[in-house]
Amino acid sequence: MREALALAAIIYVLAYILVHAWNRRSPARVVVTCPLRSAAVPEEILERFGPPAAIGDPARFTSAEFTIGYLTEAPGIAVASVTDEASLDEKLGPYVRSAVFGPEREHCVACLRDERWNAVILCHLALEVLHRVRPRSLLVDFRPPPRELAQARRISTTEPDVDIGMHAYEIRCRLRRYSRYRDATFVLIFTDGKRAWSFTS
Amino acid sequence: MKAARVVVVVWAGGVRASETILDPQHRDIPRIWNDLAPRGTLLTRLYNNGWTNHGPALQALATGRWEVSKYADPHPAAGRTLVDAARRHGRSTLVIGPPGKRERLLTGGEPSSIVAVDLSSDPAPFAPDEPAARIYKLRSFDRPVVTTFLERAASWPDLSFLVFDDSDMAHQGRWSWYTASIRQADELVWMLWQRLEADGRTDLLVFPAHGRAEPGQTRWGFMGHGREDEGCTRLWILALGPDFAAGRTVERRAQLIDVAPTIARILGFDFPSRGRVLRELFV
Repeated sequence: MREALALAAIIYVLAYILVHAWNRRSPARVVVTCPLRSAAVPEEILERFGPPAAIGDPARFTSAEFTIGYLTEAPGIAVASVTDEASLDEKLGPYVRSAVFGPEREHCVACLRDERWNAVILCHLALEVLHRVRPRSLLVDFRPPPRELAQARRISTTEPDVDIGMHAYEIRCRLRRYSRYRDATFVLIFTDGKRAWSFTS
Repeated sequence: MKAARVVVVVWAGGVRASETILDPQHRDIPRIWNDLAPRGTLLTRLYNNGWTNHGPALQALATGRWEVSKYADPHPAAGRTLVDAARRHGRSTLVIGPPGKRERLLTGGEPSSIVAVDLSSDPAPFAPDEPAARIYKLRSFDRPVVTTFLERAASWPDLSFLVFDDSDMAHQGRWSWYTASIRQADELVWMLWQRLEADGRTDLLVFPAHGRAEPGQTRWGFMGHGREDEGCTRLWILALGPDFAAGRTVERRAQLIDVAPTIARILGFDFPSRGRVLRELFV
């Protein structure tokens, strides 16, 4: 009995070390893309993330195991594809039931009725996904679709760049709380459609 | 003590030190930092060591004790508040704040000193064409709180509490609204002091009752509060008036429960509490 327990302990330790080593071989990556509507990246963001680097096409950063956005075909969450309470429960149910970070179900129902899907909801979902799903790579896409489509799908287009950037900052700070993401690559991208700047940490 | 009157501005909606005195640029408190701090005493390490929610924080301020009767909606401590004590010593009192139950915490439930204001889109006390009127675009409690107080200039009491609540808009997750509410409060405090300073016998105390969570915490950073981290607990107090030295910074650690006995000392009576009189603030 004692030998069996010792063997099990050794196997557990070895398995732990192997899993840990494997995770360190391929650190996680979290990418947050934000719209840039003002002339420059807000100074509150520069203070927190440091100087940006101009990048060409942000598309090379935007494939991920899990994507959170307003409208996306990629695996993950497309909040604006929720059109009624049935689809809310189907698509967001796992994330809003007993949520640590939210959003609460009532908040989502309000978006179906008189509010709009907005960056706060995406941010809360991102925190919830980091907490529950812990994907190896995550894309949080705060960019709304073109105005007509945004209007039709009840998506907010009026949040200032700094408000969205501060959500990205919350997500980055949250990563430090999880051992899985402690050595993760975090990339923040601001883009106006023609130009893009990235902050990497 | 030289002052005959004390006005307290308590930032009950919660604001972090990192957006106020610890911001290297002080971009949202330019009046407090550049114009008012040089005229008064700034204590930089005031702490809320109780529950960092609105009700318990106001109750700690009111009673000088860490109260734990209820997290969200504590019962008023009838007969045990600073306002009760001031009235027993013949002082007149006034509490102006948003309607609800929290303002009663400051009076121990006694309603006659309370003036509740409505959420307003009126730019007053700023003139409509004044830049300050456009800082905070949303409906406000803080503006009518100050307007109501200024309208009563002929009968200002010995002890007034002005309860600011707009910064709690941060729960909506809009950084720009949160910081604009701080900037607006900064202008309101500046306007208040310009009116109060003239008579030379009024002390003004300005401080947050609690902060907001640090980034990355489970209370969602600036959007929430209620934790025991530095963001939620770290406060400060600015003291202006004839009892305080100009341009002095005090680094000694103090607690929110120290404020009530300190105010009592200014008004000339003792207030039994768990706090201490902040003698280091006085001239």
